[in-house]
Amino acid sequence: MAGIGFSLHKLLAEDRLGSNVRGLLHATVIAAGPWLFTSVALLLMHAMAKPWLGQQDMLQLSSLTLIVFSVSLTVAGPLTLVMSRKLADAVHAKRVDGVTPMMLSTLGTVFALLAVAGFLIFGVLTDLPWSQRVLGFALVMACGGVWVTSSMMSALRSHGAVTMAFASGLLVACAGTWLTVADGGLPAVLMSLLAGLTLVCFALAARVMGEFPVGREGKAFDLPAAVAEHDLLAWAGLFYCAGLWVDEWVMWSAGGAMSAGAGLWTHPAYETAMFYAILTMVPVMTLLLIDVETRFHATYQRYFRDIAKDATLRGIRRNHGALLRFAAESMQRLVLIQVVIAAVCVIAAPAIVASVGGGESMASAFRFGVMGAAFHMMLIVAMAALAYFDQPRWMVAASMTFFAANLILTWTSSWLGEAFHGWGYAIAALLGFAVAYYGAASTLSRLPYVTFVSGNTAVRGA
Amino acid sequence: MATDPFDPQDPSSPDDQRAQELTREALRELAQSPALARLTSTLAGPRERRLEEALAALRAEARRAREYREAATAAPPTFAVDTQVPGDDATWPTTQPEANAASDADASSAATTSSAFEPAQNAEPGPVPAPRERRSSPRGSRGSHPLRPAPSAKPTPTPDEASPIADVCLFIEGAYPYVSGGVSNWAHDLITAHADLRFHVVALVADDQTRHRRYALPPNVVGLHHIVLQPTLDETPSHDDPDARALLTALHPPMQALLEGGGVRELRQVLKVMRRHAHTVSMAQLLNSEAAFDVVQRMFERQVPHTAFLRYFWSWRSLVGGLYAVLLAKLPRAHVYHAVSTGYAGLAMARATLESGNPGLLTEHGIYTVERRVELALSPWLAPESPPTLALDDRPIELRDVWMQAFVAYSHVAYEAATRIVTLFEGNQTLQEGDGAKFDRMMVIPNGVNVKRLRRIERRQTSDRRPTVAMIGRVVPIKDVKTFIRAAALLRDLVPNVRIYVIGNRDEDPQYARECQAMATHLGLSQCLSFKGHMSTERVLPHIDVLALTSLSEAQPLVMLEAGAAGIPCVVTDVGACAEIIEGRRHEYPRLPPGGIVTPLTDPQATAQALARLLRDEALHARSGRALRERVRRYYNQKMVDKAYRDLYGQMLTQALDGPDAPQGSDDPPTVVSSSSASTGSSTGFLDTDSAWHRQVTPPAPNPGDGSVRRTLIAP
Repeated sequence: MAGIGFSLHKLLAEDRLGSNVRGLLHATVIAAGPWLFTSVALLLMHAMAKPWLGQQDMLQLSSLTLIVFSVSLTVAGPLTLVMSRKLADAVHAKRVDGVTPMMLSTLGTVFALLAVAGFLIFGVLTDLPWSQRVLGFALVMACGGVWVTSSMMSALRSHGAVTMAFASGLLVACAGTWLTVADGGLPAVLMSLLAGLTLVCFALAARVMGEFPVGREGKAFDLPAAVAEHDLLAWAGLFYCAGLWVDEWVMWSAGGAMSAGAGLWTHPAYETAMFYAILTMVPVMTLLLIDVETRFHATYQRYFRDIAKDATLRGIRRNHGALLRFAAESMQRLVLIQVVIAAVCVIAAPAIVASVGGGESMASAFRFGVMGAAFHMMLIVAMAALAYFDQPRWMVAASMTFFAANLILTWTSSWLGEAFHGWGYAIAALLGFAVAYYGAASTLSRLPYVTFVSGNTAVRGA
Repeated sequence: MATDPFDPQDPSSPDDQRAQELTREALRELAQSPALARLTSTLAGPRERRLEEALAALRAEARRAREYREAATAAPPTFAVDTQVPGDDATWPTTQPEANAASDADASSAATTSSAFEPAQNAEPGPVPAPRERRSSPRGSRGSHPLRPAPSAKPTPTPDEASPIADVCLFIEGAYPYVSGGVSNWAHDLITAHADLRFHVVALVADDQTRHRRYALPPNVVGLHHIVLQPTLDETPSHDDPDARALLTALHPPMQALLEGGGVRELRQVLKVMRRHAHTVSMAQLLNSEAAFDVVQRMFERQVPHTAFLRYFWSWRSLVGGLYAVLLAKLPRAHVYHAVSTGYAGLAMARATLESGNPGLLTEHGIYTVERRVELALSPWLAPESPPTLALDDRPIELRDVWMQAFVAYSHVAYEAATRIVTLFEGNQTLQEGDGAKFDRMMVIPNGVNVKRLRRIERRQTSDRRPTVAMIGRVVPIKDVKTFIRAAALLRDLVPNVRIYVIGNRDEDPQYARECQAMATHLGLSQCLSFKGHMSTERVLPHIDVLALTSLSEAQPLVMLEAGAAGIPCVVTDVGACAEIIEGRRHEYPRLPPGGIVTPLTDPQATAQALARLLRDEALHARSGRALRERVRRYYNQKMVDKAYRDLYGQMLTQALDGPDAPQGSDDPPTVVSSSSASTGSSTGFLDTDSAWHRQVTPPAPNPGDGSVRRTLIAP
């Protein structure tokens, strides 16, 4: 399967405005497709459900949606990160026999963990009707399956298949909602979402199994051993995924939070503000993908390939210099664009918020959210560099900083009033970025030493 | 038609079976080691081309040795005098004075080599050690050493720092007691033959994996410890560790000088820097710090900037890592330090002699630098990278040259530090001299075999069977079995009813063994040539008429001596001491006829013709067999070998206990301080290097103790 780097190169190399636009759109769909489709689908489902559901049901829908996505990601994230790493190793070693067992093993473990989490949430902590408990439980499982399968396909660089699966599944979810919400109410909406996510999960799993059939000698994937081997990666995944949601969980206890009944809580103003604020990352995410898949990937590969192909020290230093120059230029460009977007959004916050029906309290959270998204984007860039250069310790440090700061500062800000909502997330993203940047800069500047000695398992033992 | 005397259905003796088991175990262990994997990959490429390169080096070696012998034949002997051994009418050329009679040695030994790349892969199958029970039999009947009463202590089952101070500390790289083979057998026999001396064995091993002993340590081994040349280093120093930076900044100049051909003087300077940083120095600092990586880069740019850095990086870690391991290791206290090769064992001996002031002895079986040169020629990952040039002088330095430069430097250090330099045969001495050994310190002590036992082997009459030739040795490229098979094809035409055997392990290089078998089949030799696994020579010798060796490299093959003792003539290539065994040393008197025929390397025609001559000419066969038997009896008798080492140890122990002279090669004025710990037994049994270094600045305080004050010479 050809990587997207080639097609992006081709589209961007054609010296025409049209091809550049096509290239950017292609990259956007690949980089943020599932995210955009999910966001749009949830917005549409909420919009379609609003005329037919009462306020309580709408609040429950919001709360359940957030619980399903946040819990499933937090549980599945660490394992999918480890799985992706092992998958990359297997593909590099051309041992694709084990891809399907790897996915099935990870899915089994994630389902088992989510079954426990789902039971606690929907069986013990909430007091929903049984039909909604069952649907909530099933949604958590289905969403966990989607995280695993989509991560696997992304690691295999089948971005198109992921986007197509999300588009199809969420189309089914929207259509189901539109057709059934009038008569079925909230359970019908949840059922539609479940159908959509299940379709996405099965489509991606089927694609993996079809493309990588289990060989005759295919052995079961030992996930616990893989987690033990890459424990730092698992910790990084756990802290990062939890850090993505912890501010929203904390805000359920802040001023402005509303009870959705049955033990569920939601903070509509904060959640909506953050939902839109984080969308400001899409353009830079797209550019990041283009950078990574085209120039960076080529420079990165050249650096390591030349070392393996008997480069002299001068050649290694030349390639290292190229990587440093690229990193500096890319970071500079991405930061500049993200800052400009953030500045525009901060200035235009009242108008943007008003256009989605928000009030003054939401504008404040949106401003901080936009600033946080800018720092968060930089954190993602630095974390990507750390992942590329296999620095799990720094990844743990950055993600732990992000999580802890988001938890503590959001909790602190929740007591300072609505004007400070979102402040915790913004500062946490900045601190996480600072740690990740230091690690990435330190690694990149000493890359030959890291490559040959400190990051070389043959030197310091696995 | 006569039956095959080596047919598998023929029940092997328990000893043979045990020997085969031991060999298989050794090979299994080797097969699991990364070192062998590297060696296997080394030999798995375009073999012929690399063999050609190796052959060129070997031919040059053979030519030099031949020229040396020819030149020396005309010259009077310069260093050796014959000494009569009481109880035996054989003579033994040595510089040593006559000493007490040595008693029988019941085991044979063989010379083999160890690898600096993979020190643990030394697996010369040769004679597998005899059963442990027999080897560990009491040696009380042997004469006690005049300088040391026989130890009453039990052997230390788990050697620790409380080991008593040894008489002899034996440094062995990649062999005893973990790998069975020539050097290991030799070392075991040496220790066993000197039951009245206390030995401390220092095994230099490649890595820190668990090893199984192939030998039960004799009772007189008071300690065994290891120097791991390539230890696993989980630790990486903190970011730009200032201690590491200071250490490596100071260490770089003397290290560079040492690696680029230095000697004891440079080693002394290196040790001095290490002493200054003794409180912080560690392997992780020396190899894994950023400062260490800077040193690697600087050395690369200085030495081979046009080559692959990755290869240089691993070369550096291998070469210098071993050196650091030796410099940081805790060394046992002993009166005499004896290295069984140059390389890292020689470096350890040099360091011990410098730090203790006690004498050092070096025994070289194969010449370390020659063996490394062959290995390097066979290593594809060290293949020359520079384009060929018409100007010979313009050839840039290659990575192989860096390796060789370091190995030669290590040898140089060992030669300079050693009080005596022993090798197996004269041909080696010219090579040692080329690497910096001083002629007046050199002497020859060959391998020995139990002549009495081998003489008793009853050979089956030729009339009972077909004329039989055997090649005994591992089926590996260095033995050049393919040349023997080509010779077999020619021999079959010259002696139509000939029976030919290749006897030796085929597990070490299965690919090569398969190629050999395929070649034999292709040449239509299945009716007359058979491959057999490892067998004891005593089982083989009664059934053969001529022994053949077509090796590309040998030291002093034990199998030749054993065949010779049994009266079997040999056809051998002109490598190592083979020609010397067949034709006699230059001052042999009375001169004996040749014990066989020496052929050029990789010359199947010459080998076949030589074998045919010996098989068809009964008079020649008988004359050669008698001559070889007599030559082995005269010069390769185990009794004389034991006596020669007994004399050497005696001299050195006297020197150590009476007070050492200045260490060899010392350019700096020595500081002599006193230490009674050696004789009081209060020491831990290890060189207390911290204290030794401390003593540099501490005024010496003579302590007569029990009267046997040992002066310790410490470098200034």
